[in-house]
Amino acid sequence: MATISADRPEDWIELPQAEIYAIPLADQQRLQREALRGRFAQLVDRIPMLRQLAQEQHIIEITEIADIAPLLVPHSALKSYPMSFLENGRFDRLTQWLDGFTAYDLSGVDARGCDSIDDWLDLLDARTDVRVMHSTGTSGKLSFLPRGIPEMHKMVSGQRRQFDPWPGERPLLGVPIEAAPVIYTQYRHGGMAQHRLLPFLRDALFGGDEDMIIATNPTRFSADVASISGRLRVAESRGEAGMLKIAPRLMERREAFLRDQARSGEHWDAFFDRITGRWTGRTVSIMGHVPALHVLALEAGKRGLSGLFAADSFVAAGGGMKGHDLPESWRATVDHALGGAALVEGYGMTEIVAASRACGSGHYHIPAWHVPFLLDPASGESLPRTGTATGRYGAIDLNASTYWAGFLTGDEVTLHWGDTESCACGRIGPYLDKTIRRYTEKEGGDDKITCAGAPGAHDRALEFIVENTGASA
Amino acid sequence: MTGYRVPLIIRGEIIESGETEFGGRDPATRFRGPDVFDHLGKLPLSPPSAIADLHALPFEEILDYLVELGAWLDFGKNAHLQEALALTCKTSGLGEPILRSVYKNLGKVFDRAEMRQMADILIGIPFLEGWVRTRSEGASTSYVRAFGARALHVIAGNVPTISAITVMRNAIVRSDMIVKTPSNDPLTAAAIARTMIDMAPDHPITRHISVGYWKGGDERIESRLYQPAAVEKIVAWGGLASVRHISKYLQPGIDLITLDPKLSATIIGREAFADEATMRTCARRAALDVAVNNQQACLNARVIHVETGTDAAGLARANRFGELLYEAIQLLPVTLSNPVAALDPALAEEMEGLRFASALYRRIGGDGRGGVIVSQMDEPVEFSRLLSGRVANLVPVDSLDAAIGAVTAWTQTIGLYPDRLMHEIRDRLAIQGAQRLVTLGCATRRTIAGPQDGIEVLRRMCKWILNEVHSDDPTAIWPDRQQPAAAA
Repeated sequence: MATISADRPEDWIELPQAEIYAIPLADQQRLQREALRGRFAQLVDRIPMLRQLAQEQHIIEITEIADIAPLLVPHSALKSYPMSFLENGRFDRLTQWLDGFTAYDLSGVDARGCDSIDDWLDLLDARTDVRVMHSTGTSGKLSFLPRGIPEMHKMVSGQRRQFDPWPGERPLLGVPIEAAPVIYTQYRHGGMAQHRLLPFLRDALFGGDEDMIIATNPTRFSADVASISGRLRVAESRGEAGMLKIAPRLMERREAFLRDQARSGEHWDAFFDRITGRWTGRTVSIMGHVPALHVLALEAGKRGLSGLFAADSFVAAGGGMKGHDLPESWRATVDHALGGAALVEGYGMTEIVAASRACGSGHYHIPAWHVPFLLDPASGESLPRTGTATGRYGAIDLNASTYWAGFLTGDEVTLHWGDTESCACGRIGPYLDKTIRRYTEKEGGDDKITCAGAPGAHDRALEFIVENTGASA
Repeated sequence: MTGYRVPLIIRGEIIESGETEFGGRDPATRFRGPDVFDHLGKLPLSPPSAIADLHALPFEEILDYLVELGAWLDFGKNAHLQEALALTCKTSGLGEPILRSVYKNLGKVFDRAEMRQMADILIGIPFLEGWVRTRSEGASTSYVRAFGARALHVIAGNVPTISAITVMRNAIVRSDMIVKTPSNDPLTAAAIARTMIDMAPDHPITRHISVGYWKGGDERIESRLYQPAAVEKIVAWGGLASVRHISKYLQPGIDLITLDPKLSATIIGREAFADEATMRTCARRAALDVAVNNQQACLNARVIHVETGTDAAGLARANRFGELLYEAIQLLPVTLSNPVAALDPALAEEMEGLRFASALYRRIGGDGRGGVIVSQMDEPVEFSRLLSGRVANLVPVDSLDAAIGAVTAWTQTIGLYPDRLMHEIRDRLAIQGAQRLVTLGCATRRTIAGPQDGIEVLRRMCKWILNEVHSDDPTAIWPDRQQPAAAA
């Protein structure tokens, strides 16, 4: 087994599963403790947000893993900028805000000339090593995570590692990762995590061969369009004054987006031409989720296509139904179109470089570079790091060296710490049950009626986004 | 598994058999009861003319009945209400002390003087009692009478009082009513209906109320019920959440009255910041508007525009006012307002995020005890619609124009200080969309004898029938009816 060092936790993700999940629990914890101490010391003076948080909590060094818990940042922090920065074209101030979250110095970036989020992302790409990842925005506001180029390479490693063999489990992909093209069920370009990953996969796995990346839509997913619903909603809630501020340029992009949507049939034709020309019946790697796979299957059906790929293809189908109501026949429709490859679930988040795939026993195993935390959802206190418990999930990704990757999710999970029981698959370390839900999902079903509230903005662009990215509104 | 059972009540008959399970994923708030689908044939009033008995009741007898019902809704003696409280404690955002107080005061909805005033101001009692001559010109006379209708009410469950008001309004307008209860309060309306059955099982008012729970959107039920043959008027609280289900059944013959969800606000003029004592008094008044009933109702204030100015001194005044407001909220009596176990998760997430924008938003408190967010610029937080659980957003402004411009069609109540603002800006506020303007500190004291959300709900719940009597002869235009003298 390769030796691993607490000084370079970013190397751990390069270990095959057979090695990383074989590290004895006590060693995992010792390595994590030391690596966390190092990451904190290295970043606390370079990331203003972390410095402020550490000062507020009177934390000057990390001696135990649990010391990190008060330094976990809620994901809402990544959208704590005021939306008026966007409406007033203050991309200089948005840059200043983002500067608080990254170890890179963005003070030399002059964003005053930007007049849209897309422009701003392009500027940061051109001038810095930051690769900002934004959220879908359908819940109201885009969040921005300033990932750096070093972590982009770690995302590629994470993609590789999910296909490592494990005794007694069917390989997730029947061919070497370099031999399977990536089928992506969304836009080829954009600023969300997977859009960002695609060029790095292309260069690292396929020697830069763009033919190995096949997206269902070849165009760019505009961050400005993604931001529309939230901006309209805020504008509406501010009355006439707010509505007047929605920039004409934004509405132009929205119109362009809708025009492109009208051409989606052509995009599908071109997509299936690329598939049938070279990949029918062969092993591929599909990045998607169930609603998007269902749309793909329906489009295949319209064209009389079925059994598109080999059964040993990899189909990532995590993320649940994303709020969509699919017909009961969705599974049969998808299987018929794709050719029967298994649908593989996973648990991941933008803040962590790679998702965990369900093991043969149906658990999500957490690799040593991903340090889990479990908190009481009401008090925010850390729960004991032993046994099995349910609570709010937090994690820190030790790969991150350019931003603070300690995050608090809004997810309720059941976590087995791996000390009092272990999974039948044989992996050592903590693992999660598949039943994961958002705390913000409404209790009491959707039939609670109240007199307090305000209507949300409804926009056709938003509907398309929900349909096409599978984002939940 | 929950022990709560929710009966179906159809015009005096209590149906309890049935094991269908309803409610959310939390086992503590789930409940069981009959499937309304199995009893659908009996639910619409049949024949429609069976509503006649209500119209034979004198208005005073209706008041007698309601006043007596108010007395029977004595929480200490009424087991149905006690059971409703036990479930509502689990489903509601109101704490138990408030709910207990709300249930204890439920009977006050049926105050004779107030009900009479409401009927007289909003409709006019003579129109309810009989035909009123409304026009008399030459040989023509018109009469109008307000009749009841076959109505279905989709009610809100955030405050149990809504159930009592619905029952009272329905009796006043002499309608036959089916109440569809919400999952956050499936029992209060049923408890009132059961009390009516205990009190006067054969009275026409008891015999014209039905109460049931089904999951909103259940097509088996709604496709048959939301038909002109079954109901004439649907009164829907809850805006899009409930109206989305109803809208697909709309057709001529069904009158939909929507009571959309609303939010309320506050505008505090510069006089409030003259000195510490005035600030303290105004903060207490604002605390009442924000926090009574834990900010669960539409009329609770959420965004508070303060005319402090936005320069450094102005922000300092706003921040000080924020501290005073937070203190005042904490000192409210528990029967009016109390801390909750935790904020709404979506709001809590947003509040957490504000820690990372501390130069833009100052946060005071922010847990189950409530909180105040003081914007350090003249803009509210983007998540202002989520404010609940006693969390207010203070927004400093240089001029009231900014505050007026922020009023929209879903701004229900605006608390104002000082009262001079009523005269100066009430027309502008109304034109922007506001529906109720009230002295600061009194937003939660709503009179029932007034319009609601910009509409006259009671008038719309009636069918307005016109009777015209013309004593001249319309057939006089035929030549053979001309006077002989004229023909000669």
